[in-house]
Parts: sequence; C-alpha cells; structure tokens
Amino acid sequence: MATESYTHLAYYERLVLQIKTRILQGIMQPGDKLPSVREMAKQEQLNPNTVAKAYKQLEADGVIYVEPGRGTFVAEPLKHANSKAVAAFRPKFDAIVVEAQSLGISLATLQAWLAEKEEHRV
Amino acid sequence: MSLIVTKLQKRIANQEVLRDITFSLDRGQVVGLVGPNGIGKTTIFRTVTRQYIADGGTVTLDRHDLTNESPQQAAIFYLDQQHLFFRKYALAKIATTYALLYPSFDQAAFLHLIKKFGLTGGQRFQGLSKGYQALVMVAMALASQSPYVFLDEPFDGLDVLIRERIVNLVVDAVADGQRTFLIASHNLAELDGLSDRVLFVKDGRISRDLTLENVRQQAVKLQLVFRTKEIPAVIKQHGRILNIRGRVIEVVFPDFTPDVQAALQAEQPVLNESLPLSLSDLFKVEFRKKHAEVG
Repeated sequence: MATESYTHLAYYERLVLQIKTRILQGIMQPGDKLPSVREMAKQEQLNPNTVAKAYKQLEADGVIYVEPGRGTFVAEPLKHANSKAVAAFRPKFDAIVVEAQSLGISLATLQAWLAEKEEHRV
Repeated sequence: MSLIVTKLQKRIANQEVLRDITFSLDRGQVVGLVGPNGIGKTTIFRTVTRQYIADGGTVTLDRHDLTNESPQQAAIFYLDQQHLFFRKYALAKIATTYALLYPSFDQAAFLHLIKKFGLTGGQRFQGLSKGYQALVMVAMALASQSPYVFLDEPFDGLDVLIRERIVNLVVDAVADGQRTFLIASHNLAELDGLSDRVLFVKDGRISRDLTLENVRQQAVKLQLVFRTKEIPAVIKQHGRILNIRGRVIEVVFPDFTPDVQAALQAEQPVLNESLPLSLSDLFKVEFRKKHAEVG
C-alpha cells in the first residue's frame, strides 16, 4: 500500500485515509465510481472483509455513498462541516495540539505545517 | 456454518505433537495458522482431515461429528504436499481423478483456471515450475467447491507475481462469504492484510487467536530510555522486551491501556518514542524463548 506513513494504523483505517487523500487531491472526483469490494481487495491485496469495513466507515463519514445495484460512488464534498462532526473533532484536535506542545513543537511550527497543507491544496 | 476443532490430540513416535488444539472457523474468513517450522502445523492439517487418526478430541461441522468420516465427505480440501500422488499426471487427468474423489469437483472451472495461467490440460504437473505447481494446487482447491480449504505454506519460495495471483484467487473465493481458507505459514508477514484472524501454534496448542486489525490498534512498540539502569516494573508486567541496546529498550505492549501509559509516564522516561509495530515483532514476542528475551 502506498500510504507508508500510516503503518501504525489498521489496514482498514489506512485504506480510509488513502481514499480520502485521493479525493482531496482530486484523483477521485464526486460521482466517480469506486471499485467493488472484491476488485479493491485484489488491487490492494487485502482481505475483502477489511475493504468492506473501510467502505462502511467512508459511508458513515459521508465521503462515499452506495446506490444499491449500481455500486459505490464518491460523494459531493461538504461545503460546511456538520456541526456534530465538528463537535466530535474538536477535542481530538485539542489533544493533538497539547501533545505537540509537550513534545516541544511550537504553535508557530504547527501553523507552518497548516500553511503547507494550504499551499498543497488543489 | 462453522468448523469446530476441540481438544485435538496426536502423539507421533511417543512425542505429544498436538496436546490441545482448539479453534473454530466461520464461513467467509481467511485464517492464518502460524508457527515456526516443525511446530506441528502440517500435523494439525493431517489430523483434522483424518489422514492421521487423532488420539483424542473432535472435529465437527455444524454440530455434525466428522471424526469418523473421510475428508472429502467432510467438505475440507487439503493437499498434502509431501504426498502428491499425481505428480506424474497430466493436468487434465488430475481433474478427472479429483472429480471421482470430490463429487462437487468442477472440472470445467479447473480447466478454465489453468488456461488463464497459460497452461494446458496436456502438461504434466511435475514438469511445471514451482510457482505454477503452487497455482495449480490452489486452482484444484477452488474447483473442489469445498467450503473449507487448507493451504500449507502456499507462498513459500514464490515470487511476488505468483503470490499476487494466489492472493487474488483467494480473495475472489472468499468475497462471496461462502468459503473459508486456513493458511499455514512460518512467516506471519505473508498473511498480513490477507487474513481476518491468525492462530499461533505453540507447545501443541493454539496459544493465541488474534485479529491483526485489532492488534494494530491496541498494541504499541516503544523505544524507551530511563534515568536509571533498572527496568521499571510496568515493563516487566505488561511489556515484552524485544531488545536492549545500551540504555535503549525496545518493548512491545500487546495491550497498551491508558493505565499502562500512565504507569509508564510516572517512570519519567528520558526517551519515549513509538516505533512502527511490524508483524515480525509479534512473531518474535510469541515464539522467542524466555532466556533470549533479555539480551
């Protein structure tokens, strides 16, 4: 799998991040059809149950949607973040910032990293 | 529908090879059977399929006792690589022979698969390269239509391309959720990503039944340095030391709970860095002898 930096994560989580990254980079666009679970399992040399778990997670996150009988597709990106999702995300973000600071990573460095992400956006 | 093996025992030449082999397999799973060479993986296969008569224990399929039935009735497909009677056969003859042994053997499916590999029915099995022999054996397993397939070291010594083709065949076969593979390997990494669960074989028992996806979420590998040379109790209690180089201790915590984390922080390590946990680390933790653990 291409996502070398995520090796500490479970395979299904890696696949979730990999697909989200592809969508953010525009390699996969809204309305694009995803490979079937079986095809994706072969492409990634993964257990089909792992792929199915990743697809379920992506669907729950609203990143993809399933049309019964037709397949799985990339959803339109959210224009405004859902307030519930934001409320759930905020504590995780705060925890990461605290951890970074306790490691001696300054807020300025974190801001520089965020700015890098902004530049790389397509 | 599940295959349940309970307290299987087997003595060979006065040695207890299997003491208490207990596990169950559900449909639609890929399960790894892992242990070092010579630990008894093949003996498990042979005993479950009744090539060896068990000294104790039962094998049941849907509460139906298989202990007195032959393996083809038992819906388990297993090729014993040390006793392949068909080495000299042409591939087409293997198909007709197996159709006699396994009533559900699909000859057309088998010939279709070998054609996809670029082989013909006239070719003899023993004339094929090691990689193609491996592919043909997996094709036989798939054509048998048996719900349970045992593969013994299917990837051993094969190149990446053949490995990929075998994985694709297995993925295709389990994707419908109707078939189950039990794959023996001495190399845990070979089963990474492919298996739902991994069973470790140790001292004639299934010592662990792990879901690798969960392990990756619960377990951590840390590189630690402490002020004193003393190894803190929390490591001795919850961790497994992989190695010690000078002051640097590499340790795996199979279950890294917040309590363990807090206890570790309380020791105020000078260095506390997380390292990627590889499957070979898990293998080492399970199988390395105690005396080698520190050192």
